[in-house]
Amino acid sequence: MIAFMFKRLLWIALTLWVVFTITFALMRSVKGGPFDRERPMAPQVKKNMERRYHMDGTWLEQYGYELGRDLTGDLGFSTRLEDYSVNEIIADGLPKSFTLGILAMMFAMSLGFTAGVISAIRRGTLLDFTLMSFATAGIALPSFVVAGLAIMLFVFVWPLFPVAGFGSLRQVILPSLCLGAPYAAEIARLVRTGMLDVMGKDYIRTAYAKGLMTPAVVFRHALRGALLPVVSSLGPAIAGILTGSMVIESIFAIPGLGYHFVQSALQKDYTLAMGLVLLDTTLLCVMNLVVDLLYTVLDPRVKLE
Amino acid sequence: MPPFARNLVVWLILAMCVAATVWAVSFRPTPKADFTFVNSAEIQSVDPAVITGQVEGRISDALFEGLTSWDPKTLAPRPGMAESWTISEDKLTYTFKIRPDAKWSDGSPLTAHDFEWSHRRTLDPQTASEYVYQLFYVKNAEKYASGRVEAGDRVEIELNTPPRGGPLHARGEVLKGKFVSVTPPFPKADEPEKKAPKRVYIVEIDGHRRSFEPGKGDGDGGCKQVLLDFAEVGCHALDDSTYEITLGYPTAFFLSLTGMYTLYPVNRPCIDEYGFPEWTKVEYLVTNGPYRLKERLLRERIRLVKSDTYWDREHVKLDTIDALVIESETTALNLYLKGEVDWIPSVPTTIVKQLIQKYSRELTPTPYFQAYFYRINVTRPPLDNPLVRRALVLALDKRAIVESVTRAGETPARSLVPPVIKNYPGFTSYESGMCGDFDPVEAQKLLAQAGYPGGRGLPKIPLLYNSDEAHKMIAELVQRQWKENLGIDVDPQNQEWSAYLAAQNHLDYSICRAGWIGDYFDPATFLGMFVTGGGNNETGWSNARYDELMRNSDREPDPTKRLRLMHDAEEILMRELPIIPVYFGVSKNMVKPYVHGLYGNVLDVHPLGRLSVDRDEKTEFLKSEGSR
Amino acid sequence: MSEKPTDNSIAPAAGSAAAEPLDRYAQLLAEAKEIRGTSLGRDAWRRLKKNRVAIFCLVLLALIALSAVLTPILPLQSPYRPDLQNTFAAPVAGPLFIETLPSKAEMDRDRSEGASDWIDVEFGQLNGLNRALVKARVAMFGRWSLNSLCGRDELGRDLLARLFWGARISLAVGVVATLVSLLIGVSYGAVSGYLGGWIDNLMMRVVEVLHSVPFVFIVIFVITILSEPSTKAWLESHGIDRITIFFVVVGAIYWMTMSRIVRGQVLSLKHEQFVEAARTIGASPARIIFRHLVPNLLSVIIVYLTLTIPQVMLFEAFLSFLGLGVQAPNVSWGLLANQGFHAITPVQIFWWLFVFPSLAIGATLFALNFLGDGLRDALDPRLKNK
Repeated sequence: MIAFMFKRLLWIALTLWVVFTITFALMRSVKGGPFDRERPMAPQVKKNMERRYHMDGTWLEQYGYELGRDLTGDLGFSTRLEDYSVNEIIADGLPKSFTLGILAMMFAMSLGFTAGVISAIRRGTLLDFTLMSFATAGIALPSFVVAGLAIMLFVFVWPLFPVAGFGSLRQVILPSLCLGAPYAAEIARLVRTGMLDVMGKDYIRTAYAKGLMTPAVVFRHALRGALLPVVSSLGPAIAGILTGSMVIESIFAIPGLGYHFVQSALQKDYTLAMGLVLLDTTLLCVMNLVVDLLYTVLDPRVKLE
Repeated sequence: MPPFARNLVVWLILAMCVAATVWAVSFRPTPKADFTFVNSAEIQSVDPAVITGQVEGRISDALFEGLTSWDPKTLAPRPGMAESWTISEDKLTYTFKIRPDAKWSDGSPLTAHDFEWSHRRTLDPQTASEYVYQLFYVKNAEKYASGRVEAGDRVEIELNTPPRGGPLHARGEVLKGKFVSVTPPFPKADEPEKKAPKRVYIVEIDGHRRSFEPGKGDGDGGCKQVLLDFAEVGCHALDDSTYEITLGYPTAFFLSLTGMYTLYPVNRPCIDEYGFPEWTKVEYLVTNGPYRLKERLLRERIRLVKSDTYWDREHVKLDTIDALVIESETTALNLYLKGEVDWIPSVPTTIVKQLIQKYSRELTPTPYFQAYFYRINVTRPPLDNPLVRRALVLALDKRAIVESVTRAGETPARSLVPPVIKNYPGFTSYESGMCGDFDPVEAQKLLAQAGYPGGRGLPKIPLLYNSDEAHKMIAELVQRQWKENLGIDVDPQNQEWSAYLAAQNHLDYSICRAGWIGDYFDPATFLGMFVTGGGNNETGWSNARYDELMRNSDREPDPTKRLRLMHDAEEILMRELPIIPVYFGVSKNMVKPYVHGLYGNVLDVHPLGRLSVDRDEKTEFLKSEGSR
Repeated sequence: MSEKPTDNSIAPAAGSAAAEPLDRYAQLLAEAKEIRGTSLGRDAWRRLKKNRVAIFCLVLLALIALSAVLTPILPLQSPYRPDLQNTFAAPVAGPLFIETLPSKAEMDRDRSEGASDWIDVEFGQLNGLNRALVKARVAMFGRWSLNSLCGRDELGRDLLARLFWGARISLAVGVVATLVSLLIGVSYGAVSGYLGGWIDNLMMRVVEVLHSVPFVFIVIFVITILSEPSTKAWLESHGIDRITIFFVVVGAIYWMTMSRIVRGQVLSLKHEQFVEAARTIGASPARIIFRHLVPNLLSVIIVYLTLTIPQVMLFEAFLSFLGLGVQAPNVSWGLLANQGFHAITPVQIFWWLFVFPSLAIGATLFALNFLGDGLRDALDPRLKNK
């Protein structure tokens, strides 16, 4: 167990380093840096700015400096939001993204499981087909289209929710629904397939034979078997939902990290972009680790290597 | 793992889910402010010395105040921190009288020394102020900021450590002396250095020659920087209440500049104590304007509360103001229509026509000191040929663009300086413009004359714009028009903001969208762009006569003659056409009728300190809205 | 245990026991060929045919693909010509056809002057085949085109025509990028799985690390780098345009899952007898991988293909939302949907601009997903007897 954890952490560290290097190289190879502004800076001013952000050395010097600084956990100052350090921006935005992400995940799981289970039990019926059609639509539509439809229906035509903003429960319901929709669809499909797989197995038949009623069979036995594929898909999903909600966040004006993620890349805010990339990678790796650990808990047959 | 432990883990996860959900749905609602408006982006900074944009300006104007302030209607300079001023005969020396009741928000008095200190800070290379050039009209300011000193100059050497017992972030101890030489020497003025080499300065102090090396550690000769002695720069606090500024040459609009954020005072004890950017934190920030910073939530809102130390607090009507950070114009409009916000600075172009019809009281677009144009890279064939450029201009139906894309009553442009400056003899109406009107037949002739009859032989011309729906529409329309009228193939290419700027800066484009908003109310803010080697020229265009006219206009004390000179320069520009004027913008503020003190003006600045909300009108308005 | 093929193969073999040996072998060989023919593919097809939804999706996709290919010959308006008198015109029901293209005289006049001709102006630069299609269209329909059944956009351009022309790009992006990812993924996974040992270990670790790289970020950067004017000019001089870059970049991202799946399959296949056999007769590793192993993975690959195309198309839409999609005046569905998204305003909702492109994307991706599911079921040996 300890050896396993140690090995995994080592891998995470290596991954982070690789990601750091790739990101660094990519950012520096793009023409136009953080100091290209609408009114071009005088060379002198630009030089001063570069000095302020330690970007006046050679690439190698900058690489060394940045790697060293990031290793200490200090991600530097944002070049665009000049009053903030990257750490502060993350500390400010992460809870908001988390709020949205948690709600989205809860919504996705409750809806996904319900739809998946019903669909599996009523296999081949119209209900199954309808539910799965909805689920497929959830996967088949780009998130901004889903959000656009939701806004059109629930904000303009039938004004149930406020259009945007962050600060009350009503404001986050619609965005978290939109954010969770594809994941709900994904979970529903996985649960359905998983349950159908399991329900053909002997032990379910045995359970039926014992005289167990359908709900009991479903929840005690079948659902458990369907849980594993869902859990393995949850790791990346959670990491993605927490940070990757850029489209939803910019549509609904949610001040989370997803928006920063895209903007920092587009606007060449090197420090912020690097910080967010590292954060995202860490989250993804940690989530995968958690999922692997969960696996051993849920399925006794799985052993840690 | 034993089964009970397994169950325990499952329950634990469920409990965590529940806890997380509870945490996620618990919000702490903020009470509504007296006045809420949409600020379309997160501000770059609160520090007035480093900011550049309109969005930042709105906040900064509420938090700080300069020597003068702008009248919200006419933009004429009015007394600010200075209660009065005198201008010398030669229009070079301005003496400001700081008002006795000028105070910082912590209650301490604000003096002329604060201005001197703040202006020095803006000029200091370590501040890295982008808009520092707004101060370059001051004598020797540019020399100070660039650090290029000449033999014999008085210089100041900033050492690495602050004076003993001083605050942590204070400026290093300063030595003064006479500059002797530097190795390696500075390059010529117009040759920017790729990478600053380590320099060693020889300075004579009290008759002894000493060498200093900026960037070197604490050892002997180490220092932060060597600059011109600030005493040589034309900013002097004569006493606590008298501040004197000496200009390098007469600048007609200088009193407008003193009302601009780059020249605002900042609080020295606060900055010395906490340093940049720490001092801008809500808990530390000390300001001098009508409002104080109460709360700042990143990408969410900025809350301002009325300052109780501001000299003119009687006329500040609103107690709290919220600035919401919302990028999408559609979202902003929706919040406005739902009554969540009282002012949005812009509306979506898609429906601007419908909005003007339906909300004529609230949305009245007014001419704005903004020009939308295309830059042409004149160093790149075939666009180096003025005939081709003229053909492009003549083949463009700008009226169609204005009517079908921008839609808010913009004026199609036939010159660069927007027609909002009184007495300026330039463009007044579309019919009397300087460069030619839409004339496809003539355009084809010109193109044939240039050797490309019917567009044959012309390569595909890339047309660069930054990603935005409106720019895209215009680019597509332009592409169509040139294709139909001239048979030229244009390839519209969108780039992200910073990549687009970089391409423009490095002349890595053929034709490129551009927009310009005047910094101050004078044609020079537009025409100054295209002088040879100007930082904003970005076309590769150069014309000696144009440069001369612009230089003369800088030094011309007589306002009428000065405008005449600039007009002549603009005519050259419109003959040579390194740019294609497209249209002049309008500001599209949408304001609730119960808000008073917000006037449409040509710079589209609206000082928050002058706003008021009539409560009765508001209740009435909301009632009528509700019954609608 | 499949029923029919086995029955077929046993019965005639028993019945011809009396025949001459040589004949019998020839007959056996013929039967063996027949049996192989009825095996995997036909069996799957048989099961797929039973799945009515999947078949419906297949037909729908075929129709969409066909109309995309044949767009130039269809009586559609110009997708690029603005009509500034009719901006934001709502969908009309009739008349079904209107006269839109330039008059005959105008078509000829342009040519006589030697400037870019009318096809160029109306439909953009087309290659020879598509130009021929447009000419065929003029021969068949004259100047008649379908009326704006889907409304007009901000510049008064016909949305219906834009949807059809957009389909060409959207589908091309989806298919080609997926093929690129397939090429990389299959080769990488197969090589890794076949070689095994430390090479396999290393190659899979690399995938694992790459998997953790936030690729949205990478794509933004790669696209900005590659669409820099100077780089772009260089690429274009080598015949590479932005769409090609798109294919490669997107393809280069989606290969990782494929490589893992393929590797797993190869690992389980490589100790099968036919691989051993190939090895004993001296086949090179490359030959074994691509001649013997990969064809056996075809079912997996097909399923993956139908499930990756939707992902790629979604990604294209996402990039369009960010403004990094295809360049104007080209259109794609993602671009149109994004444009429509911006036309949802509180004062007036230009719903057609949003709904029709969304429907186009939705229907295609929906069909692809269902078809993918159907194919997976059909090709899954565990479900054979169901």
